[in-house]
Amino acid sequence: MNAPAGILSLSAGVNTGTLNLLNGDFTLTAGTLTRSAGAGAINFNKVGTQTVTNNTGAAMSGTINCTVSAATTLDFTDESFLAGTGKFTMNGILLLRSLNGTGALVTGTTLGNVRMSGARAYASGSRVIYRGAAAQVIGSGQPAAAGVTTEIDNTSGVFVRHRS
Amino acid sequence: MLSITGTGALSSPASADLVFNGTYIHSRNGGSIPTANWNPGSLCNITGIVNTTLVSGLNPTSGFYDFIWNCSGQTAAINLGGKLTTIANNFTISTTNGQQLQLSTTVKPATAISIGNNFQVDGNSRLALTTTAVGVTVNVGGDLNFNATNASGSPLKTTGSYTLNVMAILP
Repeated sequence: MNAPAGILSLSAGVNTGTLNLLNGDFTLTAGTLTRSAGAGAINFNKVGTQTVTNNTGAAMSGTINCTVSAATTLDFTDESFLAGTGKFTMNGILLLRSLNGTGALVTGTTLGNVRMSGARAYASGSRVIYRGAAAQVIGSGQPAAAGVTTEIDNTSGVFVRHRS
Repeated sequence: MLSITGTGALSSPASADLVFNGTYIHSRNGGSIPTANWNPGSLCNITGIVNTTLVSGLNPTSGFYDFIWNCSGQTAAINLGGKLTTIANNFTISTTNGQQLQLSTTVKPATAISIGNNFQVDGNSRLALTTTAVGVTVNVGGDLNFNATNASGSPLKTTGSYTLNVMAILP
């Protein structure tokens, strides 16, 4: 999406509008991806690595529920992020690149690679990988659910700032 | 290239009687797209719709190849009634002049809307996939590129539902 001043509303009424990304990547360059009523859903369903690029000022808002399939590695470009008030459900691999000093994965809506204010759920068997280009920080959004594997794949190191 | 202007119409008894290998330009308001076969490389370019939808011709037997909606003089929402269902290559909405182009409203397409390659929305365009309670499925074989700058936005649905599959493997 590269729509300066433009708006793509996944839903403008009751029920849910569903966007299934079966292959390819997800790029927000400019404009607003939202919903004005009801809910939107984005399902990351690629078998393999699916890249999220959203680091140039585009907005993502409203109830847009994002679900990552068990077969998908969701790879964020640098400080790119998913946002909005929807739920975030991870069944596959979350590949974190954020170098934010508070954490690559933080609760709240302003920092890190996941900035969604809805419930975040990590299924047993899902994985979180820290693979930034420099040192990273484990933040307050680090999942505590059983069966979730965290991997450090960063030669510059990963530090713990907060663990709840 | 074939262009239909004013109140012109082209009559073709059967699709086998008219074959497009190049470009057809529909530069009139309303009217019908002629019954034809649309070969690879052909383009159906809709440029003249103002406030009246197309009467017929949106569902040729073998579908379209490339299809462009480029109606810079459009002054009202246009409902295609679920009739545009098959585009073998690219579907580009260049402009709707700030009005909605509705692919489906009260009529659910008999099958999914199939776009073989890229689905692109540009310029001062507004798109709705469905506007009532009927659900619609849109399968896009290539990329979904949304570049429309209209500040009123594109509500992909209102009370209905849709499933938009991007980079789907099409039959």
